Amino acid sequence: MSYEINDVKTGINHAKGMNYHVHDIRAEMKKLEEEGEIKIGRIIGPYKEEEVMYGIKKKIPLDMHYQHKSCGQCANLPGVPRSNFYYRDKLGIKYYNDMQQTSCTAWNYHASGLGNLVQLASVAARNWHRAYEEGYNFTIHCVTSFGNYLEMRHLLVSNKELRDAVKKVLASLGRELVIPEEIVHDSEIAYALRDKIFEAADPKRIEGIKRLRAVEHYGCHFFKQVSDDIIGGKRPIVVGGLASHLGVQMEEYSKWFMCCGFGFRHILVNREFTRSAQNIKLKAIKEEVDPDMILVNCTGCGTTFDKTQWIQKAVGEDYHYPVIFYSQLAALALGAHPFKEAGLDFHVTPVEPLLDKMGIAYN
Amino acid sequence: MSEENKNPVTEKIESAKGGHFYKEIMKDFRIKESLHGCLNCGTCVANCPAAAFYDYSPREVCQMMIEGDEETIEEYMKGKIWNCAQCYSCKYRCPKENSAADIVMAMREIAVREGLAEEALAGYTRIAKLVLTRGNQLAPDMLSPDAFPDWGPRMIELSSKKMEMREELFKGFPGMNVVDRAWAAEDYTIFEMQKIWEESGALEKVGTVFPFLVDIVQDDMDDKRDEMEVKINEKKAKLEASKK
Repeated sequence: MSYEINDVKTGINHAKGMNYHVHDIRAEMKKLEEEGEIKIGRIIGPYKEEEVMYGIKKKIPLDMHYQHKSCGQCANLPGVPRSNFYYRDKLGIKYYNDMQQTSCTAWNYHASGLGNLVQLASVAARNWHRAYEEGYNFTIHCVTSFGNYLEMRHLLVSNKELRDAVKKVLASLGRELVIPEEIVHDSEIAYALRDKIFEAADPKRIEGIKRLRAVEHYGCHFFKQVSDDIIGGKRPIVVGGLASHLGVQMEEYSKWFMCCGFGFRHILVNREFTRSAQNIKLKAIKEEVDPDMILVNCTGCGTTFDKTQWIQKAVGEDYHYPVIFYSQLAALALGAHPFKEAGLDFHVTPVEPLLDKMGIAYN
Repeated sequence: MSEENKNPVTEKIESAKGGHFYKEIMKDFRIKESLHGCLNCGTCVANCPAAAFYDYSPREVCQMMIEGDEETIEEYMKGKIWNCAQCYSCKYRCPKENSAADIVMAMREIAVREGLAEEALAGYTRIAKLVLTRGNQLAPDMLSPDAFPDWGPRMIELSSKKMEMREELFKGFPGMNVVDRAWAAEDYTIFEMQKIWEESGALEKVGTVFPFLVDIVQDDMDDKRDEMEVKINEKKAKLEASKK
């Protein structure tokens, strides 16, 4: 499976040729800034340009990362934020782990309908402002936060009424509306840094990684909620792109597009849906590939895949695929201890067979 | 409204049909971006995980809004909207760029506001409380094996060792080794979050489902309001000074 931007690029050129709903949010933001309506939090320091839909270049900041953490990861899969910090430490990237950050509240919103757009957009803008006032580039660990912030940026740029309401709330906090120049997910950054990660990797770890076959799954809110601002075009490439660059043999499976079954509310109050959706995905993965691991970039999907394999025994299935985040793979490549530094012992589906195959000691 | 912002599909129905719920939904500005006519092609249904397991159809969501079909809308408002997984597969695949997921989101907001969500949100108290009192949506403490027996025996083991494991993992990362919230958000930060909910009218809405939560949040805010408002005023002065 190739992770060069090829078939996706055809899609981009097709869209360009058709001139079909080309939506350049960056140009709209610039116009609003000129009119004094918003401020843009510009990229600080070096960046790399990667192509998104319609051939638009997205600037991926390579340093000074404000770490917008994921509440689901910190609570449930803490090895993920720890790995995000780890690969930055190893590559000498400066980052800021802010205790004045809040959750984005989008999980709550999509699950319950509690809250409203002014609240949701104000929470987004308050977190954006934290990165701006501290002098860092806003970067996001969670896929639902990422999708939500892309959507909030779009709604704030396109709707003056919402913008004015949010500005009023922000003013009551002594803050102003500063929209980041780019909304960037951490997996996009790891992808942009793939050469550096490979160069700095432990050769023995790379040897182990080359023995692995994997499939990938992307969070729906990574590419379906707002689908024109992710690296690669319509279909995401960043997780598999990073993994294959490090030597993993990536494999295709027919249900790659399907939602994992997290469902926001379903994972809490309706898990029979979650388990059933998972069974469809896992069955296809097993029958078509039977990989060494499932690679993910999303808090909810990582949770669902990791926690929902054991119970499939109830329907006579035996699944045992370790669920690994892109950044945990990067941390392992860079020499991280699998438990003490990559937190893989917080996963419920056993990771030990994978570590054995990679030749990594864990006790 | 300028000519270019007009949506011929929604404009036409708005003037002709629909009952109470329809009119409420149409007030949400997202609807104009979410409905561009429907071919009844079923691509959305074919890609919808909720449609695979429930009596729920994103095609029907778009159709009922285009038709202004109040009877079907009411059926959705009173239950079916809670089946949607909010995955946006319908939006991604629709050849007309409709978004049933966004329409459902607007409907969920209205269902909460109009007191129709009590049953759907049973079991949701802990999340709502955490958001409003800690600034986080999730905490390690919430993932008890009792609440998630289907996550298997390793959850029990993890649950009993999580404090030591987190201490080891987050050595040198202050604020990360907590179990009653995802990270140790500061009091000032939590107050800002509460103020956003208050100022945006969202807190009042919470009262339609969890009235006791509103009392808890308001008591919490009142306890620290004077101290926090001093800080906010300092911030306001700093912002004003930076503009000059």
